[in-house]
Amino acid sequence: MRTHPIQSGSLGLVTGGASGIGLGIAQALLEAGLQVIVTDVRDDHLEEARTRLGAAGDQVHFLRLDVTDRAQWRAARRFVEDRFGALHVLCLNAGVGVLGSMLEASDADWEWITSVNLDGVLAGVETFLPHMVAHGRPGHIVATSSMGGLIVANDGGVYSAAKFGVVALIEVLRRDLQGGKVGATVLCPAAVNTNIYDHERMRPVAFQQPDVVRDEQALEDGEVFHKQILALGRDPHEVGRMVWRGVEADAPYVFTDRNVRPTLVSRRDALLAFA
Amino acid sequence: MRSIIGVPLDDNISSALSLDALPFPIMRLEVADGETNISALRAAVETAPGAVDALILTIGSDQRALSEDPIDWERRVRVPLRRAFGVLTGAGRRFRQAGHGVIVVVAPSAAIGPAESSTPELVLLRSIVGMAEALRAELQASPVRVSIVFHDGAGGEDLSTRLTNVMATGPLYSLSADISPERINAYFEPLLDAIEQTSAGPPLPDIGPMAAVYDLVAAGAPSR
Repeated sequence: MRTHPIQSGSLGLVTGGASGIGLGIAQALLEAGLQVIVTDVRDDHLEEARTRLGAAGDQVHFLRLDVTDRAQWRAARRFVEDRFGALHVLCLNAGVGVLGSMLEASDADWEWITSVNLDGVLAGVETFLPHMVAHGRPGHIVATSSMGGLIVANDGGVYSAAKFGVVALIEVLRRDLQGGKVGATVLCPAAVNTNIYDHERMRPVAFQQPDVVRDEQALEDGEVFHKQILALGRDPHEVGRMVWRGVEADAPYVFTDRNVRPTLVSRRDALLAFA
Repeated sequence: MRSIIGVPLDDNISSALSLDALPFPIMRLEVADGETNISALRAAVETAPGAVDALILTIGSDQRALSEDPIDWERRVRVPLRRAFGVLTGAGRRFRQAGHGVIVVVAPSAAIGPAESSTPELVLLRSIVGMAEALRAELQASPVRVSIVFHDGAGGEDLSTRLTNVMATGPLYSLSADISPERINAYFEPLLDAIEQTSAGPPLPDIGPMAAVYDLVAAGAPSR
């Protein structure tokens, strides 16, 4: 049941919105009649999104936003308040999908992955939740976690640490926001046809290790492998529509693939076996 | 006699759990309270003197009020999370090199089940649970075991027996009595219901052992 209807003409903001799942969410919000601010850290992706979403005309806006930078978050809030007055749907989607051994992960790996995947979500909530509660109109926060936020693999410890935290954050937010006009949903996608395989190449200088020479061949092999797998995954636009239906229904969780159910059941059953 | 390193995650938190109360002689890891450099934390564990068999990371219950405005995310989540990562991966590296060892994370049961903690506490605890489970998964092919021992936070339980068993058998979990089957199911039911309502995605090729760490045999689950 829709408990806090978002009106057509409301404003949405999507982080990491210029490619992949973020772009799919932006498209779905536009289809639902919202105005959308597409934010992204990558200028090249923002330019591509400008072309892809051109038909939306003045319903779509573009803003460069590095979710790890608190000053840029404050600027984004000023942009929203000065130009639009109020934000109604906040989609905290920006993330980096870098996997690998946690035993070999560097300080820089940890800082980059957690800064974007967890701190970037916390910063978005901190920046915009008070604004969304204060303006008093219906609103919703969506955070993109992952199936890796509920179950673990053997090569994604840093990623899972961050994504488990995102699931927890939204669960607590739902509890704290109960009875109010702002809802919260966590998206836990499985395989989606995105560019997540090339994230290592966009690692910012601040999170690089100057003394480490990247193994280009290994990187390329990994990209080819993951690109082939992900090409078989869900279409991001379809995932965006799933997210919008989740917002309309005030759903606590949005998944993208029923086939992952047995993996989550296995975690539940492991806990039950020890109870 | 086991040689064990003990690391309390946050001395400032009012903890129901004291390293001194544990049933083993424990060498407390000497790292500066404010140390958050992952390499330094790892090095402290990897170079701690003597033959070390186990590392215990303890996390107390956070007694602070549910609401805190504004939340100090740096102090309450980022710093302890970074410290946990440095210490746990330091132990993983040391024990993998040695070919044996047990890593135990002792955490409040608030991490499991419907959200009842303060926002930063739940975010921190779940992140550490994900980290610990993933570390176990990464080390699954090695002789090193990673276990999560949940305590009820009230301080009334003597953890000696459970910790002794965990040291000996290295199961994935050891649950406190307040983590009942009903509580576990209450958490997972909305998740599984939501998945049920989702259509099946396109078939994917086998990409390896996803969630293999939860296999009951691999997890060391008690036989029924």
